[in-house]
Amino acid sequence: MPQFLIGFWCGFVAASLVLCLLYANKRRQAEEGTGNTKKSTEKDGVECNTEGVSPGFKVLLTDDSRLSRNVIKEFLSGRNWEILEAGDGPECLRLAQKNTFDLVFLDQNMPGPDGDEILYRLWKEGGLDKSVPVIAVGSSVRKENEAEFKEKGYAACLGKPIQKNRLDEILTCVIPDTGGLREPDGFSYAKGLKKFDGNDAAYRETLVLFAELWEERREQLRQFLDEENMEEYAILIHAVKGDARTLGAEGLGESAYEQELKAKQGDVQAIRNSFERMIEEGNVNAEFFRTMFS
Amino acid sequence: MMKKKILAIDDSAIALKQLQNILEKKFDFVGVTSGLAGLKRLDSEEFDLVLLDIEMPVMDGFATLTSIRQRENLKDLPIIILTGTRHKDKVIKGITSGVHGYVVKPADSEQLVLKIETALGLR
Repeated sequence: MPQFLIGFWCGFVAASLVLCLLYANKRRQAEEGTGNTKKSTEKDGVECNTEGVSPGFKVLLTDDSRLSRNVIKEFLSGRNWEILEAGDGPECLRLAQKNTFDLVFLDQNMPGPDGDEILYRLWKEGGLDKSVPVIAVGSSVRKENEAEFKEKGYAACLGKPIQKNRLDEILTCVIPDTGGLREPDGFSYAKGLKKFDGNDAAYRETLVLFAELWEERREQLRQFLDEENMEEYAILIHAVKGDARTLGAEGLGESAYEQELKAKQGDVQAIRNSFERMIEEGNVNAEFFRTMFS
Repeated sequence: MMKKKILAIDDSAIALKQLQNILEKKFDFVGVTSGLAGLKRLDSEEFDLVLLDIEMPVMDGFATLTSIRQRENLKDLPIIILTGTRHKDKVIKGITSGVHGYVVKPADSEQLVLKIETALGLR
């Protein structure tokens, strides 16, 4: 065989080998769920579990260990939550800037910035509301140190290896047991709970009270509207607005506020135009509170 | 030290529950749902401070405030009004009517306690 052909053949084999190695590495990264992965390019650098999810509840799962992320995902699988994953702090921050999360898992021992720094930056740069529960996860995390974590702003801590019963116990404390039902649009349990200083029992009791009052208020509103009594309508819808905001039902609060403005302007027709929509919003909220918290 | 006694007047039972949850650890809390009921309690018991909702049916917060101030023994009683964020005109009216401050509803617990303690001279 001519010398140049042997040289060409050797070069071709070497180049193929390099390409294979590069591809294998890329594939391994994709399987690890980190780096510039095939899956991650599909949607904002994130692997998304969107099959059968509830659009009402979004979880950010940050851990450099794919195994840990998979364990948590498996334990959460029955809840129909949308789960976005981050393999490191910077990715976690980037996701927080682009999404609104209801719950965050944050590994404490990742390469780069530690858990506390990421938490601080999530609030400061990521736009994460401080009322959103963040669960500290790690092999050095101990339940008996939970008070220390809470002082730093975490809602709870979860040691590794992750136990399902411990995770369920935490979730019962930090978020409502929705049993897979989604929260009504415009309602946030976490935000409402904050107004009650984190007192879960008092908050739930008040949600039920709202549901109990709603039926009577709804009929009174209808009566005031029929009578075109805008003065009384304005006062009652003002109370509904205030209560809805107090309870974290900001969507209903905003609808009630719009009605209040119209009532004060004496614009009966404008109220009639949006009345049933607002009532339906109230019905959905009241039904959810009654079903979930009675 | 005896707990300071606070009367909250708000037509919303839900707002009263929230206030009670925030305040009952630090203060002796009483809540009533109308201006008239508030005046009745003030005539029969001593309170250190009143939290007063502005928009209430029948007797609104300003009418209640006027009635409170008309009572000689309640002229200097600290009163904090509770109002919605978009009611700046009412806040101004309240301040010029002799209240010690205002709190935007829904009340933020830290801010509320701070304002109450300041009005009571505890800070």
